Amino acid sequence: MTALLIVLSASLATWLLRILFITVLPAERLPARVQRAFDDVAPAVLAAIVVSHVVRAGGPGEIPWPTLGAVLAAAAVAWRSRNLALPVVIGVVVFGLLLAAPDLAGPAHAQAEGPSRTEEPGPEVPRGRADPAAWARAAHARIARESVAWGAGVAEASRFLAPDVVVDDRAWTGAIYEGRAAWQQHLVGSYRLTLDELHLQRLFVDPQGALVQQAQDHLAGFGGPANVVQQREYGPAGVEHLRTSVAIRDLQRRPGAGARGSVELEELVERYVSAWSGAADGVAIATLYAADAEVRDGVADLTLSGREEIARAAASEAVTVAGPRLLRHVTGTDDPAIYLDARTPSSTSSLVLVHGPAAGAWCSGIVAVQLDLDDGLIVRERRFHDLPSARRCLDDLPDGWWTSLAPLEPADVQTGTLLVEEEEVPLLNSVPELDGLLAWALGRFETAGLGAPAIGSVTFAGGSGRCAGLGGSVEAAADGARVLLCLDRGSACVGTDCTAFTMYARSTVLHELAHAWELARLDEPTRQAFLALRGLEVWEGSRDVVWEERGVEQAAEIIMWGLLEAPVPLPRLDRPACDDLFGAYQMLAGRPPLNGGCPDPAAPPDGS
Amino acid sequence: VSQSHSAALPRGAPPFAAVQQRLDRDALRDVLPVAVSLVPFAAVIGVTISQASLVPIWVGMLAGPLIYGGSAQLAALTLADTGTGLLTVLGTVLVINARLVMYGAAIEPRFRGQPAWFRWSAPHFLVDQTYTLANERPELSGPAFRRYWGTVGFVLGGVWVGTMYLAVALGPAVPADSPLTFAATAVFVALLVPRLRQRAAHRPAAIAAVVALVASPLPHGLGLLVGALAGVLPSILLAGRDPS
Repeated sequence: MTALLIVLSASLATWLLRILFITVLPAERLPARVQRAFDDVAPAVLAAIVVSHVVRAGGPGEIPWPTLGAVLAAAAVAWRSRNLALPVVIGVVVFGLLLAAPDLAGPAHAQAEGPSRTEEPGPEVPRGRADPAAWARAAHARIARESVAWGAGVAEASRFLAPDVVVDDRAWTGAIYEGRAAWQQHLVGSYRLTLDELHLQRLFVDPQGALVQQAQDHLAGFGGPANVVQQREYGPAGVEHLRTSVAIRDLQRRPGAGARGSVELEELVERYVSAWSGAADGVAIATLYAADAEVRDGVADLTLSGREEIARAAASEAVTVAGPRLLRHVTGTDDPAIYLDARTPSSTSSLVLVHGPAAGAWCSGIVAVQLDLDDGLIVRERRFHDLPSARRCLDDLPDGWWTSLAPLEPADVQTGTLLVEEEEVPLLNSVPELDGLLAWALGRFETAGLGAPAIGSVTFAGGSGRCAGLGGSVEAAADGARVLLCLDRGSACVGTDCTAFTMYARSTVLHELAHAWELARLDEPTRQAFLALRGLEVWEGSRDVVWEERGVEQAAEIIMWGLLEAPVPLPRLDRPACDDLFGAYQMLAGRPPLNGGCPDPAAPPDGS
Repeated sequence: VSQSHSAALPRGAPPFAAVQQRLDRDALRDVLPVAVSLVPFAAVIGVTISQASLVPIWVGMLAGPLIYGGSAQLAALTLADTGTGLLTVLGTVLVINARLVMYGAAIEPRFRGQPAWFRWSAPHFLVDQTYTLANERPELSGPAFRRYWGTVGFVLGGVWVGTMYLAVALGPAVPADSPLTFAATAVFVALLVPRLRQRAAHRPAAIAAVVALVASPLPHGLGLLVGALAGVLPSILLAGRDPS
């Protein structure tokens, strides 16, 4: 409502400025000497606009060479041509060329001498230089990828968690999970959000972690929408600590919830906000903190230790003042932005508050603070800055989690094991139906007398980002091949009861297991003989060799052909003649196909 | 720039539709390069709208056609989104748009004798670009000016608002740091330089440029207003002594 009022008032004010000397007080009634000056308005205004554009393109004390050069080029063209478009085109081209010249593009992102701060408030204006804050992009990109993964379910979200992650879910599921596996075991199959249900609101960062403020349409156990802040602490292997805090009003609305303790908590927050707002009140601030409390603002590179130092710093305005008021966290509600780490408040709660900006404070923007309480006093306060504000205030923020993260490693949920030749092979992300499919395929290898494929693990990853365009993959490893099968129950089963397996699933699993089999069981002479028989040149080859020209793929496809219940044409190999397939299978397996090979008895295989 | 369109035309001939078509075509030819030059800035504002959290997206989008001025809209949007109070935002917008008063005074003769509806509503289109474009066509008056002004205003606004809404939909996919950001500056260079062929334009342009440079540290683009006023002031002060 306030925003609408602001927009309507600004529109009205601007319109009044426009009509003032046109309609309300026509300029013809102004003194003649003033009217004569109107001829000067256009050149004066245009010159002032051009100068202000050039000045704005550079930082403080910085000469914007690309803009200046392009202005001169555009001016030279405009002097010769009255065409308006030509100087614009030439100017843009020259600007682009000068921008690409590294010596002229400005030192903004070449310097890494620590945080540089700009105090100037007001709107962000587009500047003619690229990437003023790469760190903010990196942080934002990572958080955005994580959010997409959260929408894809436990297996995908796990990939962003360190193996020894601590998931503090007391406010939501009521439990703390030690380690990724414990969390996965609890939530697998029960947790999935669509992105429609997840509304990201703001991202706050400090060099160690991030606070992600979001609304969720459905939060299990809350009987409806809920507003949460997810606190993520990063280590090199990913998120090491994950805590979900829920908005205090949503906690109170939860079925069966009581308001116990929340009055005291809100009173504390009120005292905190009023003490820190405006001219910060050192005496009032001191009463909020424990004697050995610590306030840390990693973005501002500031740490205050002890109640006295905190109060002194507040009085000297050296710290980012938290702001005069709490923001409403959901548009259209009056709920205060207080998020709690447990279902009921206590004297040792930890809360997250989101504050409005404070005029005159360093980096005036939206701030989220995390307060750890003990006995009703703040023992630890940590300030996170809204990403757009931090980006505006800092060109470079060195040594944050965003620079030290290792590339993502797949993290999957182990759902069981499979006994293959006395060895327990881990199965990941599987369901009983997929277990059955795998058992059926291994049985085909056994019955055909091929022996079991050497498998280290089998991962089902149907529908995940890892499977874009893939049926599956097999990676050689010392303890057996790592088999990835891009199948899920939906693509593997016929009917809702899974009375049979689809042709796609059967052929996919046989093909991939054939790779694992071939890795362990085919010797080099056999491979060479197979290549000669099929008229191929390379066994594995690189990405340059088309799929059907690789010996290894033809071998897997032909093994699959011989193990299916009935032989099928192989369109991916351009439907070879049955006799050829029969011969090739026999060369690889040392025996005829399990399914008898060619359906036509008039064309018997030779040498049988 | 152009030959006279309306003054030499006897009433009734050539047919009204032909005149209208020709005028609209001229206005289109004038305004299109200018409109294209606004695309990067409109995209920046669109992205800002889509990322705002305190200002609902529809309110941010409404501000485009209602305020009809990029810098003021961006300032209002970013300040409102950081929780700034109504009066502060209003003061900032007034400062940023104060030069529109000067444009209004200078362009008033073109609105003289126009119908009341036009004098009350059409100034809504008054911005840097429309003011300077109309200035390039001093021969237009009466209905011809109305058509020119309307075409320029609607096309400029259409491209401006359309780009902005597209950027709201696409979000951060729109690059904010492409060389196109220079187009807006280039348009003003292309409008300024031909005027400098006349000696009378030298003094206001030079004074305005120097003062705008010196005053550039002032907040909210105030340097621009101060520079422009300084460029005009000598003519007012010296008007009696130097009738030329």
